[in-house]
Formats: sequence, structure tokens, C-alpha cells
Amino acid sequence: MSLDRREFLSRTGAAAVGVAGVLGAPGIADAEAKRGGKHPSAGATDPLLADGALQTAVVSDPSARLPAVPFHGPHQAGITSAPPPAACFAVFNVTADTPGALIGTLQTLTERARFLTHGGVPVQLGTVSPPSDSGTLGPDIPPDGLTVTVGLGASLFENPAFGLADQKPNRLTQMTSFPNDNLQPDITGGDILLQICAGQPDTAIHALRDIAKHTRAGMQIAYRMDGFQAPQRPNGVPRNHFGHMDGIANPNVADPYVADRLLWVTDKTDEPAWARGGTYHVFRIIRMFIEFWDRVSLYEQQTMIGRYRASGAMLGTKSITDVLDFAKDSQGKVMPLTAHIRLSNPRTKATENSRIFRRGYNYDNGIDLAGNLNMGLLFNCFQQDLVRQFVANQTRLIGEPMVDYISPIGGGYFFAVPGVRDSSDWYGRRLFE
Amino acid sequence: MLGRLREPLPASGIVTSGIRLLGRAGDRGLLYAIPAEHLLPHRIAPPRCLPASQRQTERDLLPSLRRDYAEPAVCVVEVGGEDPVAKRVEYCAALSGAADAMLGTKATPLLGLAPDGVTSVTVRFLVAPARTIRVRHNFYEIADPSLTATPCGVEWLDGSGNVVRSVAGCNYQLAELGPLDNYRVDVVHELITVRADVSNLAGAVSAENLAEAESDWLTAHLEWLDIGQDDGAYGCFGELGGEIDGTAAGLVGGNASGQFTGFHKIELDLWKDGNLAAAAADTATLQQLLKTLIAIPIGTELPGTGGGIANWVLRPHEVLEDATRDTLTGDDDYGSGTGLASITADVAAVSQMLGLLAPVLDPLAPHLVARANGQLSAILAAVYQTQVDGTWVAVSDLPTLARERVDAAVGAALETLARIPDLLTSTGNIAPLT
Repeated sequence: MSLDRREFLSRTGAAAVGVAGVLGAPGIADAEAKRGGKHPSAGATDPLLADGALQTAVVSDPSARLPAVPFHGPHQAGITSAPPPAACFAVFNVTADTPGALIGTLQTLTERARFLTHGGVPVQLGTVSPPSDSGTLGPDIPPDGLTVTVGLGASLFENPAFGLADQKPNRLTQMTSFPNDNLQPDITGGDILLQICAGQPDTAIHALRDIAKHTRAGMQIAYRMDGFQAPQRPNGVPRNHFGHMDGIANPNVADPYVADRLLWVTDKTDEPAWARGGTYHVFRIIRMFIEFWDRVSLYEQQTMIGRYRASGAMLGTKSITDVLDFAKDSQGKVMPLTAHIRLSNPRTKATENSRIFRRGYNYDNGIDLAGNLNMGLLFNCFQQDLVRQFVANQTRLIGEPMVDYISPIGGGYFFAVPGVRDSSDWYGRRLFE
Repeated sequence: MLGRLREPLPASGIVTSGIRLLGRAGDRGLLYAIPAEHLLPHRIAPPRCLPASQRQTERDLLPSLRRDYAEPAVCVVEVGGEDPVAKRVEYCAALSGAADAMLGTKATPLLGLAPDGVTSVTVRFLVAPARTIRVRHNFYEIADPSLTATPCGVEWLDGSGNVVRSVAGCNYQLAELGPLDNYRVDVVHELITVRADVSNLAGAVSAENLAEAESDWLTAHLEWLDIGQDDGAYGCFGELGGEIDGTAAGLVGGNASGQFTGFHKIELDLWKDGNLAAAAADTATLQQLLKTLIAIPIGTELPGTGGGIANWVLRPHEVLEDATRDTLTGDDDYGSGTGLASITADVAAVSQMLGLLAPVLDPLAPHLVARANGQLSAILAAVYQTQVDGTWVAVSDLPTLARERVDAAVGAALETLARIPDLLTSTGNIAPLT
């Protein structure tokens, strides 16, 4: 993750200064010794034993931590709230094998998420136990904008141990391959998705570590990916690894009329009653072949995506908020008919109810066997109806020119359960009533 | 006439109230801009003079014709040029709604209109360096008797030399690449060889000789890769290409999918499963697929796609891009461990395409082809060094340094090859019309 990396770099930068300082001293001392002289500070403490200044990361200012995001509500946090810079996506397989054990795991998960998102001082267990908290956020845990968004996979409902088959949301299935996918079984599917977002990577990882510690018997991490939101460069929507602004056009879910038609399962939706207030969460790990992309002309990049790279404006427009009238460009002379943004959102009356609400993160995960950077997009979208929205969108994108440069390699379909309403509620409680 | 625009062309330099002398054409003719309310290129013939079929077309077109006629137009007229046939040449365009990016397609004089704010244009040619010239009074002209190359693209530049818009792009068509015909013939011959190789494979499989089957598989697969169609690169053979040499990626059920066919499925049967019965069935399928492919007549295009081959030959880096993405990652190794042998065939395919393009590329970018050829040789050197006792080692089993040497050589060649599509196709930076 870049924030990790930046922090790391600033630390190693500081370390390098420190090392240089320390190494400098013997050099001087040697020279002094050869000339028979002494270190200028001779007489005080031994310069080779003294410590340098404390290393502090540039981004470690505690006041930079974000305020708490309310945990309780009709919908889960981490969906419509603005995405903070850091995220950790962890997919678990449930090892609990009775309904009671599953309920216990979900209740524990709720308690931990409630505490962590609110922040505070961890319980003191005394000196005869290991500490209750990892301590990575210090003695007083800051909320730092933490959200923990829980999604349930089809496999959990289909597990006969829990008797939940009747309660499975009607569109929820295992994610199967689209023609341009290259899904790797070890990073595909899973029972429970935790989307953990926070202002800083350490906050997100602290939360994952805490939750895993408290739920070890009931669920195990199958795979995980860390993500980050790039800062605005120079403004507008953060850029993806292709250098383009990604996910600019989202439906206005702040408008309840829109949210109830595109985002949330409501009492008018053909879904089990417990699911009201929830939403389908599609999580896809999409590798981006950035070396290949960087060898393509800007002209081609822009026509593949449908936006100017510099400004993020749609082709044929001047500003990022301008909208090209596709009806007037029916031949695709201004924006090719195969441009990504045109295929995914044709902006017609017929396709308006297939719009999805995206909340993506970049990922950066080492290299592949050929030495290419393993980077990509953690694609997330939320929608009322998995089939009518995401699947329809993705079907329109089959064979788009960009498929050579990207490869969906994992992830899954999940149902983000309704929000935890109050201090006596827990994730998925109505599922068991 | 080349590209036509469909947006307004505000051009205040051309006044609609009077005739303006634009300058002297290269062939001694004089060029004038003439405002013309009703001098658009197309004229409405009286419907009664037209056959019934065209009458309907004319009726359908009428609204747009009326719209065009309602707009002020301007014509550029050349008078007194040397061309005896064209003593008076008219190029007309509406001042708004539709205008021609470039009015003449002759090498010289080459002329065109540009909107306000465009202070110079870059004109690109087939097989000649681009020229950037000034725009005066919304008009530009190249008059150079020594210029014989065909113009094919125009970019509008602003006062700072930034590309405001790439108005028309050069797209090399097959006609410009004579040797492509030879290449097509080669492809046909190679396909016939592949078919014979696959027959040998079928024979070894039915004789239940696993070792010979594996050897025959490699021979056939390398012959196929010589065409440059690894994993269905760039879709020149359409879906058939993917069925012949695609991987199981994207198929529901992966390796177990009934839709997984072709070389890599047989590779899986032979090396991983040791299943000769499955290999026999899958080889029969492959033979059928090749038969289908060869039966498609090769005319101006390779079978499968219209225009795909033109695109693909102009993009010789695509073959190695696919190799680095699918082969050097071990992703398309279904057990044979012959990915590095595949790289040698990929290099041969790229080399052949480079030879084809060299006459076009050399004037545009001297030394590029030579440098690329040197880098292709370096790939082969690095790849052959990975062999142990003359046999191939799977990419995933290579010592780190040997693998990195191959990656380095392929990566370096790719950075060079990546320039070629831009040299041969429309270039420049499209940006909003300001």
C-alpha cells in the first residue's frame, strides 16, 4: 500500500539520515584519532553511544486521525460514506458448525466493530494475561473513521449446518467467471467479507487483527487484500493505477428516491424480509497490467476509457462535471461506442436502473513471476439487485478494448447485511428470528 | 476529402461578406476563400429526375440537406493552377455544422481550414515525416513540389504548440503494405503445416505413445505460435483463435469446462492428467477447429475479423505483451513447461512482422527496426541460456537470475516495439476543442 510505503520510505529516509549521522561520527573520530585530535563534544557522553533524534513518520500526526463514523443505523456504514484513504478487505470462511456458534461469532464481530469504530481504552487484563489489545494504535484507540462492513456469501447460506437456505437473498450466488475473467480459486468466493476502511492503514489492520483474535474459533481468513485511495491529483476524483480518474460518475444515493431504487433492498424489493436495508456487495480483485498500459499512446488510453487523462472530463467535454450527450454522438465520433464509460453507463432511460454505486480502492501487492508489478483495483460496487445492476453492467463490458490490460482474478458476491440498529442489535440478527 | 467534423467550426478569419485571397498555391494557382450561402458540395437534384429508389433516399436526406443549406458556407477556390484538368478547383465547407479537416488529399498543394485558436497544424503523411505549418486566416497550405507522400492526418495546435485536437489520423491500410500479401500466403502455408503436425500428434496419441505425443504437441504448438497468435492474440482469428490456443481463463468451471479446447487442453491431458483417451478426443476437436479456420477463404483479411489483421500487424508489440502477461508468468503452462520454447516462436513472429514493416518504419524512425531486431536477438540468447542439456525448463522452475534475464530482454524489446503503433496510426493527444 502506498500509504504504508510512504510511511516506510519516510521512516527509512529518517533512518538513513540517522545511519549517516552515526556512520559519520566514526569517520570523523577516525580522522581525529589519526590526527591525534578529539571529537568536539569530547567530555560529554560518548558520541558513539548517544542516540540520535527520535524517528517520526511524516504522517503520524495524531490530530490527522478522522472522527468516528456512527456505527448504528438502518444501513451499515462504509457504503455511502466517503471512502477514507485506507482499506483492508478480508474474506473469511466460517468454521463454526452450529447455528449457535455462528450467532456467537456474529455477535462477537458486532461487539468488536462497535468498540473499534467508536474508539476508547481497551480493557486492562492485568499482568497475568497477554494484553487485550495489540497496542499498535497506542493505549487509547482512536476511531479514525473506521468502518467495518459485513457481507455474507452464498456459501454461508448454503451450508446445511446453519439452516439458512430459505433466507438467502434471491439474487445471491457464487461469483462465476465472465469471459474475460481469470478467477483464481484461492482468492475467489468465501463466506463472510469484511470491508474495513479507515483514515490510516494501521487503523484498518489493527481492526482486522482485533477481530481475527476475537473470532478465531468461528471463522478463518481465506484471503485478504489491502487497498488505498490515492490523494486528489491535483483535484477531483482520485486516480487509479492507469493514471485515470476512476469511478467518477456514481448515482446520487444521497437522494432517498435514488437510494431506494438503486442501492438498498426495501419492502418493495423481492427479497426476504430480513434483508431490508441491506445491499448486494460485489467485490472483485482486478489486476491491471500497468507495464502494458504504459506502452499505449495517450490517444488510445483515452478512447478506451472515454475520458481525458489530465482532467478526467469526458471526451468532447471540457470539465469533469460535463456530460457528453451520447444521443447526439450516436456514431461514436466524439467518444467511441466501445469506450469503457460508455458501455458501462450508456446513460439511457433503458439502462438507468442498472446503475451501480462504486467504491473502489487501488491495491499494490508486490510482483508476479515475470517481475511485473502486481497492482490493480479492488472493485467494489453496491446495488439493490445483483443481476439487474452489476451483472448487466459487466455483461455490457464483455470484450471491451480495455480487457487486454486488466484481468479480474478474484473476489466474490456478498450481501451486505442491514445496519446494526442499536446497542442490543448485531450483524444479521433478523436472519435468525 | 478526409475527416469530416460534426461540431461547429468557428472561423472568424474567413469573412462571409467578401472574397479573400488566401495565397499562392504551389502550382502557381491562386487560392481564394469565397463565401457561399448555397455552394455546398452536394446539390439537391429535382426528385423527378431520380429513379424511385434514390428518390426515397433523397426524401430521407432532405431534413439534413435543408439544415446544411441554411448555414453559411465557404469555398476555397484555386484558380490558374498548372493542372490542366483542374483549372478551377472548389473545396467547400459549411462554416458551422460540418467542415472538412483537410480539403485536398493531393501531396501538394495541400490545404485545409482550421477554427479560431488553432495557430498551426501538424500534417502527417504515409511514409514521410510529419510537417507542422502555420495557420493564417483559418487556412493552411503546403505547397512543395518535392512532396509526393500522401497526407493522412491532421492535428490542430494552439499557440503553445499543444495538440488541441487530432482531427484525422493516419491508419495504414493493407494497401500501403504490399508485402502483407506475402505474409498472408505465409500464414496459409503455416496453417497447413500446423494441420499436418496435429495429424502426427493424433497418430501418436492413438498409438498410445505418450512421449511421442508430447514431442509432436510441442512441434505443432510452436508452428502455430510462429503465426503470432499465442492465446488468440488480438483476436485476428476471432473466437476460433481462442478455441485453438486459448487458456481456461474466463470459462465457467475452468479446466473442467467443456468449452476448454485446443492446444492447452491437450497439454493438460498429456502432461498433467496422462489421459490419452481425453487427448484423442481433444486432438480431434483441434483438427476440426483448424479445418474450419483453413476453410475460411483468405481474401483481403485473415479469416475471423474484418480489419483485425491490419490492426494486429501494425502492433508487433502485442505478441510479446501477451507473452509477458501469460507465458512468462507461467499462467498458460498446463504442464509441458515449454513456455520458453513458446517465447522463441513469439520472437520469430515479431521478427517477421518487423521485416514487413521495416520499409515503412525506417523513414519515420531511423534505427528503430535495427534496435528492435537487436533486442529480439537478445531475447533468444537469454532464452536459450535457460536450457539444461538441451531441454526446456518451466518458467516457474528457472533460477531467479536466468528468469530475470529473460524478463529484462523481453521488457527492453517491448519498450522499443511499443512506439510502432503510434508511428503507424493516428497519433497525438485529443483534447477538448477550445
